[in-house]
Amino acid sequence: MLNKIFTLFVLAVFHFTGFAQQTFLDRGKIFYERRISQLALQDLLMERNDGFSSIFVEEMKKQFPKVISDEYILEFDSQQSYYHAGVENTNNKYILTDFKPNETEFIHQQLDKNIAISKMNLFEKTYLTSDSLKKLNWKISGETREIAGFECKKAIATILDSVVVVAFYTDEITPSTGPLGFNGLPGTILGFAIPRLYLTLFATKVERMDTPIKVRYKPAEKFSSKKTAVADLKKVEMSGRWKDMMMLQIELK
Amino acid sequence: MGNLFKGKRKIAAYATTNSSEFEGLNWDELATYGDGGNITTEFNDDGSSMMFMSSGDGDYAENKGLPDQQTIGGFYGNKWKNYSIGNSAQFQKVRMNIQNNGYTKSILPGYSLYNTYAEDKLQTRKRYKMGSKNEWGTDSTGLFKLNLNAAQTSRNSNSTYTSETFNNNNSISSLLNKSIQERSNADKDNQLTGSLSYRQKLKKKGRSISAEAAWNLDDKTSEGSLYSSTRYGLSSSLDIVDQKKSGRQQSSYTNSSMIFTEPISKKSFLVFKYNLAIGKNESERNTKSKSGQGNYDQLVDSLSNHFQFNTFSNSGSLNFRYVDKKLTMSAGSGLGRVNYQANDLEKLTNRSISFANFLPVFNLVFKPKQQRRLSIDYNGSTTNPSLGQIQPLINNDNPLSIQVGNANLVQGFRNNMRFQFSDYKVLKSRSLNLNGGFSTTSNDIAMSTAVDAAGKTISKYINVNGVYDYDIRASYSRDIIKGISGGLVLRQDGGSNINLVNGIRNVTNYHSRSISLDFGYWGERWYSFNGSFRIGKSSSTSTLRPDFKNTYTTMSGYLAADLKFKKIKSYVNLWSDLTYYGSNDVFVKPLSMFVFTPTFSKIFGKTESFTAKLKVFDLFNQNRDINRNNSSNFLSQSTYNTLRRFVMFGFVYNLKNKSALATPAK
Repeated sequence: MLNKIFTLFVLAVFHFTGFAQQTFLDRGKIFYERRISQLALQDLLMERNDGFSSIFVEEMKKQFPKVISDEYILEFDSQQSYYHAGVENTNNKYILTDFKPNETEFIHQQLDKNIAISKMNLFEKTYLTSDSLKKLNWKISGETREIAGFECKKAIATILDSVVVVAFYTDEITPSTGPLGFNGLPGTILGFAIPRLYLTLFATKVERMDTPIKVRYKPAEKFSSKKTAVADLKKVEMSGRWKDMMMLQIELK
Repeated sequence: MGNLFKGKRKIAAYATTNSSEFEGLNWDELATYGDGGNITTEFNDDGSSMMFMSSGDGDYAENKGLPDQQTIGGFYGNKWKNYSIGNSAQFQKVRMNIQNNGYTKSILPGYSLYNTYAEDKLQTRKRYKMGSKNEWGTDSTGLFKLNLNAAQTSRNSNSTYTSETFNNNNSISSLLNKSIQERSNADKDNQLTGSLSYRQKLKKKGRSISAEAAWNLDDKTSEGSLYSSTRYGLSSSLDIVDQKKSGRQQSSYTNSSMIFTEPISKKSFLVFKYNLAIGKNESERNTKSKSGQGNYDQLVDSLSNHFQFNTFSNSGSLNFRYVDKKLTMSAGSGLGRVNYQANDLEKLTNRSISFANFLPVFNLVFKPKQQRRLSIDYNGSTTNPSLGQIQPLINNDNPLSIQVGNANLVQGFRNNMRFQFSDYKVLKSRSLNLNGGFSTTSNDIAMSTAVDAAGKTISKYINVNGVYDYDIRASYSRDIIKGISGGLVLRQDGGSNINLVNGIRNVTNYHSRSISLDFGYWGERWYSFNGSFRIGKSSSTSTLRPDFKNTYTTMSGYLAADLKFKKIKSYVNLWSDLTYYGSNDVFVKPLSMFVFTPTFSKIFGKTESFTAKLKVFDLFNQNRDINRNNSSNFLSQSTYNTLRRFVMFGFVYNLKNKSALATPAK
């Protein structure tokens, strides 16, 4: 037992020293913490907030945590990245169950082939989609910030015509990839924010990974496109704010 | 109406007067201008939520007829970090004009009785009430809640009741009795209620403790009179009852409970509960009739009494709960004992009865997929007779229909089963629902009615076996064209009731069946609508008279539509409601009504702060408050007067987003 602990300790030390010596990393595993201010988001989605609804919201604020925090993992090498949910946080209580991490969902970016394979659930339907990688018009500002021991640069882009997204990427991790299907920066995205959704995603730890990435689908499976999911959602009658939020959800899966 | 927010402080005051509502504030206004009433909100893990509302006043049942009410009140609330307070005060005066009429056909062995009645009642109610709600702490450090409510209510009522009973034998009907009754009553009720609760989630996940104590103190005095004159058959003499009644009832009731939840694994929990309820009740009722001198000073012994009732109930339960992603279940049972003690302070007799309670529960929820759910529920419960049913007290409020208690009543047991299945596909807008329930009661409490030749009835509470009821419902709806959904609902419900008529056991089997078509569009276009039309058949047969078939058609439906003309800031709401009860041998006239209410509103001003509204309630003047009952051999129908056509103009001016001033005018 003591031996094992000792080995782990040595391994940990090895990892840290490993990063310090190595300036560029092209294969590994990134752990992210995703935080959503769910009460603020719920306020935004409420159509009205007077009389009865205000009591409902008050009661909700008492019974739900203000912020939900979940773990996501990005495994990557120079050709591909695989993004999926990490260990379940059993202390969480979600107002919007759509934000509950689903262990069956993933995004597999094939950087060399310009393809993103994604498995996503939308209400009762599950989609296995294959589309080209996201192409965003990133604007890199001079701002920098340290995340998980890496120096990151700030970049801003717009998705779905009007939703601003902020990314912090590091060129010390070379593959041009990131969480939530984002990519296209000269390095890997370690920090990410969508102010509209009160959502942030920051790397907590970066690990070296020597085993190859295992994907959870077969190449022979039938793929659809994200466009199908978008078309399906468009047909559903629901309030504008909700629909916008769901559209954004599809974009991030 | 007005309210003022400053940070978390809220001050509100209101004065309302109207003749279309029984309460000064509706639920929504109660949240804006009052303390929000008694609302409990539950949030489930699957994202669904439920809100329970209850009114502490308990006098909604008497809200019948036409109201005319004035209310003034105020609210002060504030919130600090771990402490919040809400104080409210209200005075309300309601005058109700109630006109009730109807008839009952009593199917008896070999013949039937037909009784018609009409009642004209004027009632006023004045109520002062104050309330205070306080909360300290948080779930993790311990949350205390203290609620206190005090109310003084005085009621005054005067009514005239007339009734006629005929013997319907082979289409020849003869008058059995004819009666006129004048009743008046004035009472004053002082009530103090409150509750103190404590809840804490302990460090270990799933472990929690909660305790609650609630109390209710009540002191009610009443004075009343009854004058009844009845002529039996063709007799020339009148049977007169001329009495004055006075009464006082003092009661105190406390209920304390403690719940402890202990996790035994990540997914399973044990829930322990203990409950203690103690009630004390002293009731004195004196009935006096006129003596020779013309004064009401002769005590009527059979209608006067002075009792002390005490109840003591003690119960504990243990439940096992299992919570997993797809399956949630719980099973357990409660055991308890309830003791009733009645002391007759006039006859100096004591009576004590104890019942053991057994309360098994089982519940299972299976969710194989998102939006697909199956649940099965079972609960068994002991039903204890109430003290009023046990005590041999006589109530002669209506001298032609007297009710008597029965000291030999035993405890009953009710089995309740329910299942529910739902499957909803959001993307296809398709939904399927199946649900049903069945319950049976052994030793159910029913009525044994003796009808004498003069048409007078005396009813006594008895125990019977074989009572059951059931209901089943299936519905399917889907998107039909461009977001417009259509649905089909099939329903059947019914059951069996048992009673005794002149010593003969009578089983009434009743059931109704219906089919309805629903449709609706809730999208974001300039219009939205939804409606439903239902047609069904109701029937019942009594073993007393198997030849007598009582079947009629029912129809009901509604149509609601919203039209939005955003460019000219005008909105139209159309609402209509259809009710139809068919006719047969008993209910000779069909009843039908169609209530149509259009509302127009227009928003003015650059900041859209001014709204003008025109509402015509019941445009075709057809509204009625109708009740029909066919679940025993006493078939009845009653009608209350209710609000009919009126026009309301409204102007709402919102000073700011969160403060409002409204002056509805009629």
